[in-house]
Amino acid sequence: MFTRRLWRQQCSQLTRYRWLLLIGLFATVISGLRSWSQSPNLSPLVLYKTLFEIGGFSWGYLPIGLIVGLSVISPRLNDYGATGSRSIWICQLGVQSFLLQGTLWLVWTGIMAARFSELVGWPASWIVVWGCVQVGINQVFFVSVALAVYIATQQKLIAVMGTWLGEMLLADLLARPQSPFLRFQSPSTPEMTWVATGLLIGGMGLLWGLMVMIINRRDL
Amino acid sequence: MGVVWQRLNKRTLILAFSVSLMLAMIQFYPTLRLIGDQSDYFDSAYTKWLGVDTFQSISQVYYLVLPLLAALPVGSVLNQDHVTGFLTQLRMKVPTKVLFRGYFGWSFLLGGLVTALPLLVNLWGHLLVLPSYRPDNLLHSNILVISFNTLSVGMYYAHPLLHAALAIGRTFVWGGLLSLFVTGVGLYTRQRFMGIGLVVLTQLGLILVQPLGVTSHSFAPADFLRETANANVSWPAALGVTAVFSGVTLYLAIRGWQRLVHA
Repeated sequence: MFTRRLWRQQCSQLTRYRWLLLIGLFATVISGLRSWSQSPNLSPLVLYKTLFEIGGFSWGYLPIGLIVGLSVISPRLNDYGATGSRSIWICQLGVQSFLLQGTLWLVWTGIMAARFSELVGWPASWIVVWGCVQVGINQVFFVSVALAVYIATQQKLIAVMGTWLGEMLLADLLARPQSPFLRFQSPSTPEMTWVATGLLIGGMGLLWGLMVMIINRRDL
Repeated sequence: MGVVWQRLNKRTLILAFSVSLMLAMIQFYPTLRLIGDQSDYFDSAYTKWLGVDTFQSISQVYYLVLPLLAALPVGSVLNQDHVTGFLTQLRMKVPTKVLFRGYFGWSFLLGGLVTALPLLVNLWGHLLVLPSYRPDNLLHSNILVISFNTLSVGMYYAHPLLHAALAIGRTFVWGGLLSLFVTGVGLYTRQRFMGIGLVVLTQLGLILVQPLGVTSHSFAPADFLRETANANVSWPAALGVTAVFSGVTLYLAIRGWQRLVHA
């Protein structure tokens, strides 16, 4: 009963910010469409690299996700008295992030898969979908970092700027072979990336744990 | 303007200046290592400073995060005071005209200074450590400053300091305008982050549109604020975008304030 109310409330929250969401979706579509201008004569490997170039993620997709995600976040929207538990605020953050980042990811993945299948064919598109899953994991990780900074400082601008600047400035370091981050620039099987994926998911777990701790320790 | 200055959070102001100065200094650091070495490219301060550097990603990062830096010191202060009721309290003691000048004046001034001052420091630093040779279109062909990607390219080769000053001036005006826009949007919504989100998303959209071939010239401030860009730029496009954005910003600020006063 309460879960249903929570989801309904978060969906209606999204409609309140429909203009910002529409601009965000529009920017995501343009960001994805940039890859459509590539020549159709490219080999599948080169095409994959251009679709998933690091600049597209750092300067296009990630900031859109961070800004749209944090703009809509309203951590004390739900009434604490209804449940008597602070965990409701974490549930809210989770649902809001899932809805927003999920929508952006679906649009992005759809554009990428459509372009790749148009040039290479449908059977090969699963490689792109797996690449998009890896992009999604990185997206959720950096959004979690921004959320943790926001929960700690209560400053959305500092959270977005800190996370985005940090990712852009450290991009060369983060994309190195030894690093678990940004591992989506060359086609790979799940077996090749499970360590990186596991580390990122573990990192996300730590960040969400940190958020729970901060929310539980903060005065009402 | 003194009332609003006293109310401003100086820590945020210092943070904004620190971040923008840090970015400008990161770009300057590789130049420091050139001191005493023989350069193969007859490097000049005018071919290496942040506004003309298209090789280091940090210079592109600076212009990408410019809207966030501009909005950080004062952008959301008016919205915060409006939501908390502090503005209503102030209006009982201070004339509304003085308050309008204070909020919007500081917003423009500090938004401009936070973005333009680090550029000035960066150029000054380069002038201190590198010779101020006038750029040459053959000797410095490696930086590819041509009419397609540079506004007033003739001035760049004839009067480089003036050209650099013009780029810093454009950045100051746009920094101020971006901060004013965020302040203006804050009068229409209770969400502090809405204006900043709109500005950054619009800039990203404008940057991404040009490679699609929809327009022949870039409409993104991140491209035409620099001395030379990685995209095609032109004065009509730059002035057109500036005029439209200024109009929208002034409308939002004046109309929003009138709505607030007559509410």
